[in-house]
Amino acid sequence: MAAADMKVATFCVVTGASKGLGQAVAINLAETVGDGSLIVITARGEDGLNETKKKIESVAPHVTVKIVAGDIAGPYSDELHKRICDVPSPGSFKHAMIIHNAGSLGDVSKLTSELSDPKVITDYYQLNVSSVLCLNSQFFSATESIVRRTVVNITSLCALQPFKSWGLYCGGKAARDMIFKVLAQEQPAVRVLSYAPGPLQTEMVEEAAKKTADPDIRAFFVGLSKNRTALDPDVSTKKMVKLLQDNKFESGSHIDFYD
Amino acid sequence: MASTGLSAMFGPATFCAVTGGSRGLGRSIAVQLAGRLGEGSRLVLTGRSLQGLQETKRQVEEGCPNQLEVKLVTGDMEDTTAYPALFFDIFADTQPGDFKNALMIHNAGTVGDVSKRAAEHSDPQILNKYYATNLTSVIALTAKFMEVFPCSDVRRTVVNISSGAAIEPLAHHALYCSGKAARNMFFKVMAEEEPDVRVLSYSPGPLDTDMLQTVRSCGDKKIEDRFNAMESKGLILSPDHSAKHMCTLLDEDKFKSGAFLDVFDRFSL
Repeated sequence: MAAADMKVATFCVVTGASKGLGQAVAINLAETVGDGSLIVITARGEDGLNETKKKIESVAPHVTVKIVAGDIAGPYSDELHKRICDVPSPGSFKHAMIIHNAGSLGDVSKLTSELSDPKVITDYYQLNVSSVLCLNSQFFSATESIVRRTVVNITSLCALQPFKSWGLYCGGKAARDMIFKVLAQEQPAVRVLSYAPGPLQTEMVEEAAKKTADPDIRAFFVGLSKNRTALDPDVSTKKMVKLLQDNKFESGSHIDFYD
Repeated sequence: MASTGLSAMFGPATFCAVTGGSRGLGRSIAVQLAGRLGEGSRLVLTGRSLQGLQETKRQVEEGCPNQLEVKLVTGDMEDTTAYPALFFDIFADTQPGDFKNALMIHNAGTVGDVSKRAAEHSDPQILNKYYATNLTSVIALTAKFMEVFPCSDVRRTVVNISSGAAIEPLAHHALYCSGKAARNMFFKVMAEEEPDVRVLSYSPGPLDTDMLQTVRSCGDKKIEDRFNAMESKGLILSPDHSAKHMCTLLDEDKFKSGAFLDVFDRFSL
């Protein structure tokens, strides 16, 4: 497979872009894409999105940034998804990308046998699985006329390996990996990558360190936090961008930062 | 007359719940298990169709040599607001010390709208209902099972009826594949957390049931061809055959907790 020329006019969506990995992805992609590109950054936190936009504009002034704040899994998600995927003059873009990064850890203070509240479970899968399918579907209809398309699913080692106390998260990531494998099979012209960024120095890792019920798993995250051995999201993102540029991955595959 | 092959998994005073017991594999599992449950056991069957459940009960009682209490609970796993009442009914009248073994078989499941490809699933209500039926219900019901049987003095077993689709992506089956993948992983986590509970994800193979008819008519030529080929080679199984194999696995009790096993022994873990 030939290397991908990413320095072209690109329509790009990044979810969960107000902080952490999503912010790093939005900034790095903005630096990578060409003139005439539009990056749509979405999340619930408008302040964080404003910060992401400022950072993008300081390193990639050739790119237009559009902020769409809202809850992709909330009651008005349909309208929000349409706004996120609103492509002005699709003919002007050579490439369309979506990075499904938004996600949550879930209640890691509970073991699987304690997950008795159906609302907690449904809300979890609504955000981490259903809303991804819906937004992805909107992205696909909106970018139908753009010949080159790339879809990235931010996944985790948890999609492949069980972690005690992390039943919801592991299940969600396993479901997502599979959705994107099916997508890759059905849409051979679309480049689909499930990228596991490694344990990152972000709020999610802090939360894991504080709330994980299982003592071994919690100790691992406390250690990461204390010893500053978690990865810089920027470093992990650069690896992801390189994978996309080299363009050698099998569509639908799961690739980890440490692979 | 005692059944042969009584093991610590079955035998006297076993509580057994099977979801989706009104037809297909669930019915076969109920009938096969019933023959192995000893005195003082209770079999609870859930499903959407009372008529279907009643027919299953009739077949169970016909084939079962022991006096077995069979309880039917109708309900729809799509409706999460109905879970508290439904779960209460499933485990009602279960006093501590009544049972020596407890078996939870998560068999109920749906295949979803197989006319749609992954990029065409756009209705959040439909998706939420799908995952409620196939994922949320299983998680919440397992938690209830563990609440009712919290101690290791009752030998507890949880079976997740899975599928090859949990590990192999199938066109038009994004929902089914992802739901099964999530369940497999969830039960792996449970197996790690609960070393005293026997957890098995069982793939029953391609079965001659209503679900297979839906799958075969999904509109993807490769899938249609594949199942046609399987049929001509005699590889479509009867649900009874698969249910028997599952019972053998449980009986032998050699599987690693959390393992993913299938009727053809094609893969493990």
